[in-house]
Amino acid sequence: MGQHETAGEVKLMPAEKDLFERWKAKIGQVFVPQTEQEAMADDLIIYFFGLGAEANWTWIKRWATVNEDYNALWFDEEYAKNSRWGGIIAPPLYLISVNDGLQWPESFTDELCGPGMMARTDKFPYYSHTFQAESEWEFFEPVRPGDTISSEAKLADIYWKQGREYRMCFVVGETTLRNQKGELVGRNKSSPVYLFRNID
Amino acid sequence: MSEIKTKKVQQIFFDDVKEGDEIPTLIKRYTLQKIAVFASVHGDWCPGHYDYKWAKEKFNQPAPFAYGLQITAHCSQILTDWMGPYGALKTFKSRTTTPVYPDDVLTIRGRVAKRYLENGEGMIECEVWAEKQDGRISARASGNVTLPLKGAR
Repeated sequence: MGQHETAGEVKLMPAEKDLFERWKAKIGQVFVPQTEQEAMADDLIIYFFGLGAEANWTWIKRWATVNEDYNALWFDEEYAKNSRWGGIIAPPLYLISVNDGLQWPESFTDELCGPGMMARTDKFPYYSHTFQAESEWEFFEPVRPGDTISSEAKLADIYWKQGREYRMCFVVGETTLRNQKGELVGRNKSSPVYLFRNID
Repeated sequence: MSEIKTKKVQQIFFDDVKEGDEIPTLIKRYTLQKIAVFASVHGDWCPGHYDYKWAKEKFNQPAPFAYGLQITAHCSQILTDWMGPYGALKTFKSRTTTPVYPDDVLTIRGRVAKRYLENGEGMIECEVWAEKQDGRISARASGNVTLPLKGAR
C-alpha cells in the first residue's frame, strides 16, 4: 500500500483522498432525510434514522421510558397542564430520534448504518470505526404529541486530523428541525469522526 | 402494564440559585439490553451495539458500546429533572470521551457555572459531566437553563 496522498499533514490512500475530495466539494450543500432505499440509489448519500419524526405520544413515552426518564412533563397531562408548556411535551433530546445530525454512510461505514449496506473493506482497508465526537443543540418550540418534525442538514465542514493511533476525518453537520407549522424546534451541530489506522 | 411512577419536582427559582451550586446527581446503570434498546429505538441497528464479536472485530472495542447520544440524552436529564415545570432547557452541548459498555455505571453530576438575567429571564449556565465507576470521565457537557423569577409567574 506504499502510494499515498495528503490532506494537510495527514497521509491518505488514493480511495480515501478521492472520497474526501468528493465530500469537500459538497460543503455548504443542504441534505434532506432519505429512506435507506433512496439513500442506496445514490453514491454520495446522507442517511437519517428519523424514527421519531412522527411524534405521537406513544413514541415520546417510549423514548422517555428507554432512557428511564420519568419526568411528569412527558407523561402526566394534569401536571404538564400547569407548567410553562401548558401540556405534555417531549424531552428536549427527543430530537435525537428525529435527526441526530449529519451522518456519512459512504459504503465503508456500512456497519454504522443498519442492515442492507455492504461492507467495502476491500476499498478502505485502513478504516477502523466511527464515533460521534460532539453534539451541540439549541431548543426553541417544544415537540408536542401529534407533531410532525421535518429536518434538513447542511454539510458545514470536513477535515482531517492526525492522531496518535488513527487518522481522523471530522464531518461537521448543521441540522435544522421544524414542526408542521414551520416553527423552529431545534438546531444541531455535530461532528462524527471516522477513524482510519495510520498507513505506516 | 403497571402505572409508571413519574417524577414531579418542586419548582426551583432563579433567585435561589448561586454559582457553584451542585445539581442533584443522577445514576445511570448500563446493561447490554439498555444499550441495544436505545440504539434500536433511535433506529440504529448496528451490531456494534449488541454483538460482542462484531464490536471486537469491526470496531476494535472490548464489548458492545452505547451510542454516544445515549450518554448525551442521559446527561441532559440531570438538567430537565432539576429545572422544574416552569424551567426550560435552552441549549445543550456534549462531548463523549470514553466509551460506555454493559455493566458500566455512570454518575452524572452538574454544577451551576454562571447565572445572569437576559431580557428579563433568569439564565443559568450549567456544567455537566458523567463519571464512570472507575472515576474516568465518559462525557463532558454544558447546558443553559432558564428558571422562573420569584413573583414573575
